[in-house]
Amino acid sequence: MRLIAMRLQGKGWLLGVGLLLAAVLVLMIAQGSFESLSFQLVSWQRDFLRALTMAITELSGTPTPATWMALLGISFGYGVFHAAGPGHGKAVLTTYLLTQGGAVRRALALSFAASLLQGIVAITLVVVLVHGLGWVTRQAMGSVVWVEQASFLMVALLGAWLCLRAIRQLRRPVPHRHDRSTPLATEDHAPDPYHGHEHCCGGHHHVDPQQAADWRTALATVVAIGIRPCSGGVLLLGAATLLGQFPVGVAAVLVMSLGTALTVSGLALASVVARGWAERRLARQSSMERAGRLLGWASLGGGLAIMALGISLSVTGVSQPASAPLLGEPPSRSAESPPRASPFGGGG
Amino acid sequence: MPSHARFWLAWLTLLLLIPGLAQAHPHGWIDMRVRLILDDQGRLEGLHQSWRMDPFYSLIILEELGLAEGEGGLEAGLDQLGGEIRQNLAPHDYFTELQVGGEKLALGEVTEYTVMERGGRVEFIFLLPLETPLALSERTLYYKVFDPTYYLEVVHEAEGNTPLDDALIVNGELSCSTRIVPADPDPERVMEAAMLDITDEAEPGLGRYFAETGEVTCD
Repeated sequence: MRLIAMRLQGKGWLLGVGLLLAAVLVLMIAQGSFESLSFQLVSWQRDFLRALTMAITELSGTPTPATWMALLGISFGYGVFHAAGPGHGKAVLTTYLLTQGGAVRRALALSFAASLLQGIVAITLVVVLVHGLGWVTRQAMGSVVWVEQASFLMVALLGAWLCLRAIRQLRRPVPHRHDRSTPLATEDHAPDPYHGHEHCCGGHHHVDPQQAADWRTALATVVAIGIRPCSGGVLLLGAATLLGQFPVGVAAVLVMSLGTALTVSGLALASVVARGWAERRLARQSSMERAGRLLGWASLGGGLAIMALGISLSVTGVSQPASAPLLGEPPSRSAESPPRASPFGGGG
Repeated sequence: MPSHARFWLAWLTLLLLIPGLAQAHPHGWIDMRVRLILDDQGRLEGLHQSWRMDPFYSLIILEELGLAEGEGGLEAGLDQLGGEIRQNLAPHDYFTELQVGGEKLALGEVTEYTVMERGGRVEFIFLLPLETPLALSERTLYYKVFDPTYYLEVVHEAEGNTPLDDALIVNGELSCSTRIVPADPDPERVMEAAMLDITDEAEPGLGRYFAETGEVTCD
């Protein structure tokens, strides 16, 4: 099978990287240095923010290839460290991969798609609200709050969907049609292309992550977490616009997304590896049927966790202030304005 | 499978931390200069502070003021902005905490303030008086200025990692030594602060743990 051979080949180093990351993570948690690492990350990120602001300001003065390279390098670094802290997107993605399963390729695709979508949403917000409708930047930053609420809601819905799916799987009687458990059985046996991935649940190759490959929930995951831009990104784009350097801002945000994607895919790969390890253990210890049921319960647990996270986030809404407490609410837009009565707009 | 159980427990804990930690990074910064105002008896009357907002934040503030122009121009806009900032900061003690001998000092109302634009940066300058003047001789004053939400980072004006000489000065007859101590947060405290819900009563604020401390010791 060419496909399997390819996957094995490509997977080797990725597995290595993932294992390494997982090991580092475990080691850090064990040694209690997780906290000091997060402090270190915050200070690196802070330095990158300063450097980034300066780089864009400089670029508006004397654009040389060197300043461009500096800008893009800094943006990438900022993206990497920006994403290194905990965030709800990463929590959702890793929980999804851990409990629903997914191959390395899917983990990477999800990470990159979600990160890029975040950048693209920020760019779209600024293009539509600031360039199109003539809002000031701070109002556009305020709108992030609404997009964010939408994102939390979608996370909760995604969780609910995953729960439903898991329950349906758990209630489905274990199929007895294929008694010989050869991995090829399902492929020989897939007359219905629309249910090619579904009908084998609880059956033969539950160890194959592809089994759970359901691109609809994957897509929903990408949208739910990718739709939420960082208000910092909107701020950057707004400032770049004011400097007459919008393209520079767009380039910076996109490169930043790539940096973010790198960090996120590290986490995603670690989840895939952890899941694979658990599945293999399960396969060794229990019967096919029992293992299938356990995995079903894991999907249910993951769905519940994601739903709970979405609900708690949309209730508390604490993830990021819409504006600096110093300045209070952005000015309201009289007639054409959206309602601006956000519960945590000003804080001051 | 106890190892599995432990794994899931850790995972759940991590998930619960998310709401608090997600905002744990600043989106902008303020470069600050502080001048201690002493009267002729060597008593501390107040802190004269000037806050320079970062270039991007300054830009978008100026954008707004520019659009609102018309009545009175930029000057009037800046004046109005000063009033707003003062109003927003008053409930938060102007982000300032002062301590002498382990006691927190009570602050008065800010009545002298101004906002100006210099070199593309918006600057908020104000005099923060003590409620009652306090003799500083042979004592050490500690202060921290920080945004509790850590949306903005407040730091003394510096070149690289070295604070500028005029980032912290003392105005008056007393001879005092000054020092700006960089933040060295106890990671555990940071974690605790990040976990606090905004409704919790305990002293909130991640910003505190990342704040520099100004130290002034007078003879």
